[in-house]
Amino acid sequence: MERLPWLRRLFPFVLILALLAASQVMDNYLQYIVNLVLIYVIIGIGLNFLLGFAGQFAFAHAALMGIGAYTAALLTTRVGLSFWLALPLSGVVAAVIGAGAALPAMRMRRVYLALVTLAFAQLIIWVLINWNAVTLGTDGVDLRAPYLFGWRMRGDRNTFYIVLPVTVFLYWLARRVLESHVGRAFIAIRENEIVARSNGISVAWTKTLVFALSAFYAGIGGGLYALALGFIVPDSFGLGQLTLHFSIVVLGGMLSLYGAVIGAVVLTTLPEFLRDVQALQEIIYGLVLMVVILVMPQGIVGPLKRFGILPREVLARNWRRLERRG
Amino acid sequence: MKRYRILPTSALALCAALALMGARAAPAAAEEGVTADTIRVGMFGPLTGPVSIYGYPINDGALAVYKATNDAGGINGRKIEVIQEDDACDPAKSRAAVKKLISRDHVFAIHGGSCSGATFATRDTMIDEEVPFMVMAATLDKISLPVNRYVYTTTPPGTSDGAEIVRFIRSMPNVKRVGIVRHVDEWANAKMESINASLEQPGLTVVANEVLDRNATDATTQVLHLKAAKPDVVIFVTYPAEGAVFLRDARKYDLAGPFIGTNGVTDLLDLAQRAGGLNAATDVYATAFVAGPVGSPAMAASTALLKKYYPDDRPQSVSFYGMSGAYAVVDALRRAGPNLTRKAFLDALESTKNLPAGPAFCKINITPENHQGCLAQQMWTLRDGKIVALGETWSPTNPTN
Repeated sequence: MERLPWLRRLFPFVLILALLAASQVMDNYLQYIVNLVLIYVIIGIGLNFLLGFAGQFAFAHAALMGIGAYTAALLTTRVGLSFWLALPLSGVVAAVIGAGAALPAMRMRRVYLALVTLAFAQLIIWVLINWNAVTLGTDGVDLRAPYLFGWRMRGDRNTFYIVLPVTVFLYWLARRVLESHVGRAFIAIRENEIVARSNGISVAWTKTLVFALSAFYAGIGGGLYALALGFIVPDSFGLGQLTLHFSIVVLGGMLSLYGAVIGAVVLTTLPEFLRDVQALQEIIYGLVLMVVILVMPQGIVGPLKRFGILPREVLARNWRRLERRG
Repeated sequence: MKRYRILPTSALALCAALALMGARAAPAAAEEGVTADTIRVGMFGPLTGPVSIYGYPINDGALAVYKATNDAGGINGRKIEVIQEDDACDPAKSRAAVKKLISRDHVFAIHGGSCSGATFATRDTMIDEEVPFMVMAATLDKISLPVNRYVYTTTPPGTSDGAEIVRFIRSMPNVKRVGIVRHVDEWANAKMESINASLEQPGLTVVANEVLDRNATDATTQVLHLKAAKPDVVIFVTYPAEGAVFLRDARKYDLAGPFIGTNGVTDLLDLAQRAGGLNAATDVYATAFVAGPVGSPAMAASTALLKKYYPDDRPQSVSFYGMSGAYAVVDALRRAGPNLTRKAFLDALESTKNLPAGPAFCKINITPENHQGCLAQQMWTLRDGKIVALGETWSPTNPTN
């Protein structure tokens, strides 16, 4: 595809058009699953910024998704704000809180950072459960379908029309960020903070930025998740959710945007494919994860790139043109 | 060069596959899920995951009722065909399960849901798709309130359980100071809502209100706080494992009862065993919406039914939680007549009157204004190592309520 630039440029449009066409004949069940896949693509990209590109071993992603979900649900249901304002605010609120999680990352790495962010995540869940006056505690919060030009966007297909453009935009934004000097700064602090600093990169600023950016994606994903489900409870954003997020990134492939997409597709649809073998569901699910991680240490994108099924991803704009110039 | 063409081609293929997978199939009969010889009923619950203890045991009880109905000739010439899906007690998965049952399996009605949050997340789908829904064992009030034409339950909701506990406490002589130990989740909150409301009336004062975390293995702090407050009675709104931890530590630190539990700890012998023996469960009471303890004459018929179809299942209190709903569904299907439609079925459900509820203590009564079919409960305690109902010393709610 590198040699056929028009094919590369055309591909996203083909995919979007194909998805839109498919949505016309999907039943509610499949449409709902597709919506969840797209939401987990956003969440996977967000975690990939932090875990894959910047190498920050943080465990607050599911809780930040919860903050996004609760922000969107509470602002629309209890404050009466339009969903179209609440959705970006869910990302902004999560980003602000996520940036706060960057503070321990200034002094800690690896397992210490993991422990502190895990405690931070547990604190957020505790607040969601116990701050009854605002979050309604474990009773959960509804999120009503929003209106667009007087038309109520109710149902899975209408949700898809909201989720798809947001996912496409955030994917495009992620690619722009990663192909810029900011993306290369993420990689630099992952490889060696001292070298990064000696190259003029502000490690503190870069870490804050990547935590906030990752949290923004988690927040938007959470807001859309609340929309897709229509009802959220704090338990939905605990360790199970976090494990899913990590699995998406690790199984799909770290250091790759395609990885987030593939991981989200596989891990959201796999339990559905296994519905007919309920007794073996958890065993097969676990085995698939183990085999992929053992056989494909770079995730599923590793062999797909090696065999030329997926193109290379290079963190520079117009790198193909620069490569051709030699 | 050609090898990269696989990308857009596979994208198109994927979407075509999605389209084919999702293409709406025309229902086989005029009414969804009904054929000349079958009625298809969907069922969902936590068949996998950490709370699967509320999955197969509960569903099997309901399935036994449906199987017995089929073996007795079915309903108006039709056999009930049940399709089970897993929700793992997760709202996202319960929605997927219900959407699959409706869109793919084209069920006539759904009988399922044992976890409150996961079940509530499916309510709007049932209503939007106009599918009759009988709740299996979830107790969150807002699943069945406000009343909706499509949503029904025969499991006493959380608020009625809480109110029953306070009614029992008010019947105790010389009880003025109440201590509480509780979980914080949607199940416990529903019960606490009515407990708090009932305790606000004069005569009783809450002197301590302690939170015990789910999966707690120690309740020393809660017990010592309660002991310092000197309550006349302690309400514990916990699951069995944590309730046992609390009772064990209460005995350890000489916190005296009586202790009143919810219908979540109905199986008092199991609770005593977990707490370290019968002595730990002295002066412990619990509400119960089944007619009698497992193994008692009141449960003999239901136990035999369960053992007939699921000989490997160990009969336990939860085994009987789904049966009353199944009896209500079967009765309404029968009364809806041979020309079965959802409208006829819903009309029949809404006119259910004094229907025996199998292992449940109540008689099922459903009207257009009230879709909570069972509200009556008993109070149980342990005497001489056996669970007994307090009928002779305390008047339970009227079973026809």
